[in-house]
Amino acid sequence: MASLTWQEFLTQSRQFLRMSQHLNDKWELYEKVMPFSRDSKSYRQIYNLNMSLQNQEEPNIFLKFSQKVRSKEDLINVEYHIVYSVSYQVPMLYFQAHRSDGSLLDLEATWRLLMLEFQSRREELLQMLTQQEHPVLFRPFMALHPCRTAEVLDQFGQKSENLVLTFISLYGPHVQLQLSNGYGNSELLKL
Amino acid sequence: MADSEDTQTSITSTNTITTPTPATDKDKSNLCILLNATGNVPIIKKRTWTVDPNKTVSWIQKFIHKYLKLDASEQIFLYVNQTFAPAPDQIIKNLYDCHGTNGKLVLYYCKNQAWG
Repeated sequence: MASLTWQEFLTQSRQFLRMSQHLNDKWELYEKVMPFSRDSKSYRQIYNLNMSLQNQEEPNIFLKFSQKVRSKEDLINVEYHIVYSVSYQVPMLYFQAHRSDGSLLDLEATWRLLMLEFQSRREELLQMLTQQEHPVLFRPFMALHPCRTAEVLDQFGQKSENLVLTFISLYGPHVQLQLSNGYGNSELLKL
Repeated sequence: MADSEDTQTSITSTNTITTPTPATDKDKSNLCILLNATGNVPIIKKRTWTVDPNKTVSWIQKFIHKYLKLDASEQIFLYVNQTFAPAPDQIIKNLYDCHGTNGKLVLYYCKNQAWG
């Protein structure tokens, strides 16, 4: 199975971030700071990729990307997080969507406004989307179900060079998160 | 599935050149793609296909899905190299411009049940 260790996730997330910076895309990497920090914020952004992380022992970082999605009714602000799942040992896509008046989209609205391609397959909704606790932030987020992720990632003939990138490019489009073609350039993986 | 009819007709194998002269203009603009199977997906015997450059990635996914007569719960995934899956609404022309080599766009496909 194409599962990832936490260290691999860490390395590949950084590599992905390097690619994003090279393509002038707006992905960000966040790290949770130690619980006793006096800083009011519980996590900080990692700008410099050479900066060392405080604690590499537990899954405490996530990749973040925000964008606005136009829907029939409104402009929706969506924040996507890529987080490591300890139980499944794969990356997981968490996201939170807000309308322009600040209200949060519930499960039903998320389904209706962001997952356009599945509208005819209503019965599969609960197999795909769950509201659950974000493993780093401990706040409720929408999550795409990870139980088949390792299997899907495993379907390659050869091993993927960066499973984080493969994961985002495979699962992102289901919730309107689309990577530009530039990410497919294999030269970027050598950065 | 209203477009199922022209799905079959507009994607043509390069092995069968039976098209009359008016179509040669169209053939020139069409792009050559090479389909490679990975994982446990059934192999399509004809590997080289010509495709209208304005078709999307999801259109090709649907085409393969139908061609292989897969179950609705199974999904076709397409990759341009071993790492990156292009966005479904991306058109073939753009992909070809980014990733085409030697006049061909090499695509890898595999299938899996995505959920549940």
